[in-house]
Amino acid sequence: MHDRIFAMVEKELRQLLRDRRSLVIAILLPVIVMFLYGYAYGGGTQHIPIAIGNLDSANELSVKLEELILQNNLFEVKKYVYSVDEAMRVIENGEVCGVIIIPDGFYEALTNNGVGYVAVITDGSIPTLSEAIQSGVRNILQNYEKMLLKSSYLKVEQLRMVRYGATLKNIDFFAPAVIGLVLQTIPVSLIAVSIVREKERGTFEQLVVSPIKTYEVIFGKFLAYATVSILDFFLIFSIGKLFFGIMIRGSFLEIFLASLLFLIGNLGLGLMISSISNSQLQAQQANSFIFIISAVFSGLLMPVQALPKAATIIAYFIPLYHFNEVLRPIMLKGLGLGDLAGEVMVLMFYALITMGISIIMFKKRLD
Amino acid sequence: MSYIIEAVDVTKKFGDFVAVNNLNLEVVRGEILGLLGPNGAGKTTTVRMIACLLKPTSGKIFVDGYDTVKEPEKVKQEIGYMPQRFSLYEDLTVMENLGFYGKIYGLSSMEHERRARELLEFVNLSRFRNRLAGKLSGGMKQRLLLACALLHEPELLILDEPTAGVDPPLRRRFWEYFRELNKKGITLLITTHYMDEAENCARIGIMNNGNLIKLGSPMELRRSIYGGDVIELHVKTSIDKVKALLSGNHEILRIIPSGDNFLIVVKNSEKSLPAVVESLRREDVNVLSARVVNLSLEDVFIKLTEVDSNA
Repeated sequence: MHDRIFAMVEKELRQLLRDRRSLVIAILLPVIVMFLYGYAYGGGTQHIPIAIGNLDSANELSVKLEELILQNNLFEVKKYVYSVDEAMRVIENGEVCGVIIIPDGFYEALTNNGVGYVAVITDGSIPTLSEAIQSGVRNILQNYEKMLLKSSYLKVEQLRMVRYGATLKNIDFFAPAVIGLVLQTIPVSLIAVSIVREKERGTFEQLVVSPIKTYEVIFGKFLAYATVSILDFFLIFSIGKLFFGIMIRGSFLEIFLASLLFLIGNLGLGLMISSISNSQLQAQQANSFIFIISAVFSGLLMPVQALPKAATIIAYFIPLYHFNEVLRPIMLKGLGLGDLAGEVMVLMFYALITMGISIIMFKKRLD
Repeated sequence: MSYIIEAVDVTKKFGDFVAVNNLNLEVVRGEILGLLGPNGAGKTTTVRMIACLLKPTSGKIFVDGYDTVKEPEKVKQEIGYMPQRFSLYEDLTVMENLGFYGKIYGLSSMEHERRARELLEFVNLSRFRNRLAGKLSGGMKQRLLLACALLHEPELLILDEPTAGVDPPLRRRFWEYFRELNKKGITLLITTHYMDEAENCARIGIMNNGNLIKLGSPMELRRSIYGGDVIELHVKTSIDKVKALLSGNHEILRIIPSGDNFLIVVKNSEKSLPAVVESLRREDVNVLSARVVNLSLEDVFIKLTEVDSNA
């Protein structure tokens, strides 16, 4: 019985290698997308307009911090402010994207208690820049601490939490979403087209009169395109790591396992699409539709948290959203699958449901 | 079990449209049975039901004793099916296509090697074994389909319009293949709308509007139109005289005037023709010509479908 499944896998892979269009989707598309995103966002952000508000009296410690901010080429200091109100105003009228405030009593707190605070106010309407500023400040503060540590044990904290890591490449924010989108689009498209094409070209008829069983057809196709998708997974991560040095703090094995679950669900989704489509065009349209919705709600364009409440509810039904919720923390925060058990369960559920439904829907008889 | 196919009260509906209406058909092991009829007569639907591609709306079909609905996997092992449309992978080579189906039918690699070589030789495609199927000519594609259908040595070969759109020399070749296969004991079920091809069949089933309206050997079908063989007689005599002269011959079923001529329907033309001429000559009737009318199957077909449509 396994012979038939392997015959199917072998046939599919052989056809894929001969079909230029599918090859483009399977290999060229992830490469192109990764390089486009890599070059567009990989260089890191520079010269973000900010303001400094040194509300502490002129002293050695606050001036030193001010200098560090000025030297950092992530920021371009456009303005100095002298009160919190003024800081709010320059952000509201769009003069700057963020203000770093060294509060009154900074010197005292640092010398007396060994802990100082810096307040960072950012423009929440540009979430990615807001995050970049916070990470940038964190970076500066770390350097600042190192400088001070030479003489004493001091610690400076930021009042706003930085959610993601401290390197400042935009690709780090986007990589998980882009990877997720590629890992969804390619398997869905390849498997759906491969089945619908058999219907279109009449080759399915010959399969149906042969003794091959429905599950053997499905499983053969599934294994073939799972193989291709896994290759794509490694391809994407290799490009991301080698060319753009994307951040992977968590375990790569866990990233792989989460991706595998997501891929299984996507292949199931592709099978479902193929059983309701009669032509390659219909299958591709269905795929595009899912692609657009996924792109909107996956945090690729805008963080889902920034969307209206009703929209966030929709996001819960988008598998890519959940995949990002797993991938992003593993990659950027170094969390493990155990920390993300809830989301991992959702991915498992997705894989089970789509595979189950597709097997039921997939009718081997043509009537 | 002498019947390889038994269809019992089979009806197939697509919505309100009745594609096949209460069909009863028995195919004898080892025969060539042709299903003849115009497009939309229900031939293709019939063979697709036999090949387990469609489920009958009602009724049952048995292939080699296996129910096509309950045990399709068993039925499929018995059948080689060649559809109208090219149904192999154009982006695989001739050998890759055969290799794929060899594995699907569970042939060992040695067995497959032998079968593939034999069959490619049989359909004359050995030279093209490494060519992509999509790069074959129409006729070569048909031959590859035939080879693929024969790969697992089926008992029954179902051919759905195998010669549609094929040029005449190749059509003749195909029929040589079919006869050769038949000699080896394979049963063939062929649909066609070419009358001349139907002559090659041991039996013909004529279908129209979803009904099997007549089933029999080509000879039987011809006889069924007039109730017997037809002799055309050209004589310079009145019909009454001819009737009177031939009235003693019990082989004669009917005498029909037709212009200057008479059509004489007899049970068997070979036996009756000399007797009829002889009996007229004896009475000094001047017989200008006498010949057996060879009704083509086309005539038969038109007559039969006319009757069916009028009914």
